Amino acid sequence: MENYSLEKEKIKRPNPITFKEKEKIDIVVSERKEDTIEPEYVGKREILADGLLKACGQLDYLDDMSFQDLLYGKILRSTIAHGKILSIDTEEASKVPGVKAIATWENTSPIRYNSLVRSIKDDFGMTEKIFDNVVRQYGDRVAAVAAETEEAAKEAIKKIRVEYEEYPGVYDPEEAYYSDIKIQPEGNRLPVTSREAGDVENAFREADDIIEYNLNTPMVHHLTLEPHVCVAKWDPGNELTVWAPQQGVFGVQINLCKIFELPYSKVRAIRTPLGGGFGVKVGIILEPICAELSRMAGRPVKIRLTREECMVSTWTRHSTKTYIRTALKEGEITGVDIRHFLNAGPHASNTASIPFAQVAKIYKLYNFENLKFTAIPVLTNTPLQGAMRGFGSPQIFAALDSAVENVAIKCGKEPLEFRKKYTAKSNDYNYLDPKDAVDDCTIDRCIEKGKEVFDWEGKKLLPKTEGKYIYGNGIGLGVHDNGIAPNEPDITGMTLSVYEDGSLCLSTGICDHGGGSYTILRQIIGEILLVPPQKISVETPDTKETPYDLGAYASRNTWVGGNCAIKVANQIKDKLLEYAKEYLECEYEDVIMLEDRFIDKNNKKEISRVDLISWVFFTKKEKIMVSDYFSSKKNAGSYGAHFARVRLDTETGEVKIIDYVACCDAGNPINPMLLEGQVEGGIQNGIGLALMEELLVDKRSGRVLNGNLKKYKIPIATDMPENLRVVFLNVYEKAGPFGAKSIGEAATVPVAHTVAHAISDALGGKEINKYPITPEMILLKLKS
Amino acid sequence: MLVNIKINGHSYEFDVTKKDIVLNVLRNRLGLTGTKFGCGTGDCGACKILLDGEAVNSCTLPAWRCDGKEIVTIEGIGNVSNPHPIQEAFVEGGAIQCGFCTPGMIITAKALLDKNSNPTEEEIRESFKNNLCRCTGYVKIIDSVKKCSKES
Repeated sequence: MENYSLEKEKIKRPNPITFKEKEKIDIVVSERKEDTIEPEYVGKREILADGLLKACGQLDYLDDMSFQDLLYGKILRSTIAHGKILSIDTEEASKVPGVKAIATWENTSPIRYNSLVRSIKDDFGMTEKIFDNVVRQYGDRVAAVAAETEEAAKEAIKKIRVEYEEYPGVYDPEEAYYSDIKIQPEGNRLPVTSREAGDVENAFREADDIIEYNLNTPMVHHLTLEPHVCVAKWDPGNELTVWAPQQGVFGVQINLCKIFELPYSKVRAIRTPLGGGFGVKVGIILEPICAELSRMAGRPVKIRLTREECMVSTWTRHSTKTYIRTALKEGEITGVDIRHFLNAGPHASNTASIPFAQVAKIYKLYNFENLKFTAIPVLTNTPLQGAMRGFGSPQIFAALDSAVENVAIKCGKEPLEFRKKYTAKSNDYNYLDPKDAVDDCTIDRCIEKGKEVFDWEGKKLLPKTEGKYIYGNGIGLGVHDNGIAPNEPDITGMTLSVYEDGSLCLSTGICDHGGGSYTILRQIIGEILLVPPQKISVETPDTKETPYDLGAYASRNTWVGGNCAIKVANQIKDKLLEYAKEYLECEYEDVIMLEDRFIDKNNKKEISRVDLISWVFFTKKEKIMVSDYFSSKKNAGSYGAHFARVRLDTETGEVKIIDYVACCDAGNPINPMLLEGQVEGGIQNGIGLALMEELLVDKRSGRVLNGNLKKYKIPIATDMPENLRVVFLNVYEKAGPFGAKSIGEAATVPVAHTVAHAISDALGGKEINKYPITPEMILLKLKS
Repeated sequence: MLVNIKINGHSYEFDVTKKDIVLNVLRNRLGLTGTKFGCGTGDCGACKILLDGEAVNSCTLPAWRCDGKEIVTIEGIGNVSNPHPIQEAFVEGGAIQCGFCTPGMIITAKALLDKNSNPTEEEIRESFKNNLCRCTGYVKIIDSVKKCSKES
C-alpha cells in the first residue's frame, strides 16, 4: 500500500491505458506508473462550471422555469397519524373557480409500489400507493388538487371534507415490533439482518466483565434549501414526461411505468438542477401525484411543497435505538453484541437495505474477534424515514465507536490508544460481508495524522475549567463505502462525442447534486484528452436522451462515474491516435498527442486537432464518438478520524466547538477545493445531528411538533467551529479514478460522535446516550 | 393599490393587494427568478434582497410596504457577463455548491461590505445568522467575504 502513497504536490498522472488493453479496464482503470508527467487538470482547484450562473441567480432551477398552460397543484395532508378514510367529499372543492382536477384514492392508480426501487425486479416491500384509504402518518397525503393558480388550489384543498375512523398509532420502533397495531397489512416487521463473526456467546460466557452502552439517534430532516418540486405533463399521445430536481432519473422511470402500467418508452424523466439532495431527492415523491393530476386535467401540473411539507411529508434520516454489550477479559474487548432498531416510518422504503450497507462497513473500521450484529427495521406511524447522507453509517458508527470509547473510560484507558487495538488493518477479513474486501484500510493513518494536526497530546494538558466554562476533547472514527458493489450491480453509462472544434460533449445519466460531480468528470476527461474542462459540456440527465445511471447516491458519482469517464475518454483517445497514425503515416506508438495537435515524434510531421477531426469527417466519413458503460467491481472505504475540542457553559448548557480537525482519506484528490467543501458541509450536517436537530413527534397524537424553521434549527454560521481544519491523507487508491475515492457521505459519518465524545470528556466521562445533545440535557448531566 | 418601486435601477408601478409579497412580484411579474423561495416564513434567507441597502427577506415582505423604496436583487448585483467581485469571489473560493442559498448569501455579503468594508470574521459570521446553507458549512462563504473585504 505504501507504494501508492503520495504527497499532494507530487501527484503524477497515470499512464493512459490504451484501447487495446480495455479488457483490463473494468478491474484496474488507472494504475499508476512511474514514468508519468505532471497532471494538467486532475488535482487542481477547478471551479464549478455553473458556479457563476448560480452566483448571479441565472441558473434556472425547476421553480424558475416556464411551462405553457401550467396548472398548480396542492396536496391535502392528514391531520391524524393513523386511521381509515371513511369518506372524502370533493364537491365544494370542485366548485372553486379554476379547479381542473382533484385526485383521491378513489380515482387514482391502486398499484402498490416502493418509491425507491432501482429495478422492476427489486423485492423491497411494496407498501405505498399514490393515495390510500388508510393514512399512516401525520401529514400523509389524502388528496390533491390542480388549478389555474396556486391560490385556487389552496382554497379548494380547504374545502375537501374528510371523515376518518381514527386508529391508535405507534411511534417507537421497539414498541411497534411487538405491537398489535398493524401499520401495513403485512404487519410492522421488515426483514431482520443478523450476522455473526466468531463466537459471541462464548465470548460473553468467558467474560470477566460486561459493559453496556445504548444510543438513541433522532429523526433528522435533510433540509435542502430548494423545496421539493415537480412538473408532470401527460400528453395526448399517452406519453408522460416529468421534470424534477432528481438524484436519479432512471428510478423515476421504473416506478412510474409500474404505477401507470406504461411501457418504458412512454415515460421520460428529466433532471433539473438540484438545490440540495442529501438523499431526499432519490426516488419518487411528487412525480405520481403530478402525473395523475396532469392526466386528469390534460395540462402540465406543478407541485411545489411548502417547507413544512418537506420536513414532515418527504422523509428523514432513520431514527435508531442501539444496544451494545461488550464482553471484556483482562481489560480487552473479546466480544461485541449489537442490537440496532431502525424506525422506518409507515412504509418499507429502502430501510431494510440500511443493515446491508452497515454490515459491509463494520469490519472496514473495527476488527473484533467476536461480533454479532442484529438490525431490526420496524414500521411506525412517525414521518417516513429514508436515505440520508451516510445511509446508516453515522448512526451505527456513533453507537459502535462510543461503545469502544465508553469501555476505555470505564477501564481507565486512554481512548485514542485503546481504539487502535481494535481498528481494522489493511487486508483484514471482512467477516460480516466477505465479498466486500477490506483491502486498504487507512484509519490508523487518519488517527495519527489527525492527532498531530489537532495536537491531541497538547490539548489534553490544557486546563479543564475556566470560570463558568468546562472543556473537553474528543475523537471519533468513521468509514463509508464507494458505491454499492460488489454485492449489487453498480453501473453507469456514458456517451462522449467530439465536436468539430475539438471540444467535447458528455452525455451521462449521473445527476450532479451541486457538489461538483460534473466538474470532476470534466477534469478527468480533460486530463486524458488534453482538453480544458471548460470545453467539455455535460448533457442534462434524461431517461430518453442520456445513458443509464443507477442514481446519485451511495457516494457513487466520483467512484463509478469517474471510472466510466476514464473508460470512454481512453476510447476516444485511442481513436484519435489511430486516426493520427493513419494521417501521419507512422506507428501508433510514435504519435504524440498535444492539446492542439498530433505529432509524429520521428519526422515531426504534424496535424492540428481541428484538422484531424475534419479529415476524419470528410475523408474517412466517420464521426468520433463512443458509448460504453462501467460496472464497478470493488468498494473501497473512505475513512475519517475527527477531533473536536468543546467548551461547555455550565450556566446555560450551551456547547461551543472551538477547535475541529477532520483527517480524511478520500484517495488522491481530483479537486481539493470541492473535496474540502464536501467535508466542511459534512461537518455542519453532523453538528446538527449532535447538537440541535430532531423532528419531534407527539407521543400521543403522532403530530409533528416542530415541522418549521422557527422551531427546527440547523447549524448556522455562528454554530460552526471557531477553528476548523480539514486534512487529507492523499493515499492513491488502485481502483479509484486517478486514485480518488468518494467523500460526500464519509465526511459526515464521524462528526456527531466526535462532538459527543468531547462533551462527555468535559463532563468527566459521563455517557451520552441520546442525540441531539441539547443544553437542557447538559444541565441535567451537570446536576447528576 | 398602486405602488412605485425602483428595482435594479428601473422604476416600476405595480397594482398590488395587501397580500402581494415582494418575492412573488419579483419572480412572477418581472421574471427575476434569481431570488429564491426557500421557506416562505423568513427563516432561511434564500429570498434576500436589498431594500434601501438593507438585506431583508422578501418572502414575508408585503409589496405595499415598499412603495417609494429601492430594491436591488441578485440580478442587479451583477450578471454572468459582468459579475460583481463578490460573485466572482464566491465562485473562485468554492463558496457555492448547490447554489440555492447563494443569491441570498451574496445579498447579505453585499449589504455587510457596503457598510463595513473590512469586517472581522465574527462580524461576517454574525451577518449570516439569517442565511441558511446546507452544503458548505459556511467555511468557504466566510472566506470569500474575507477575501472581498481585503481587496476592496
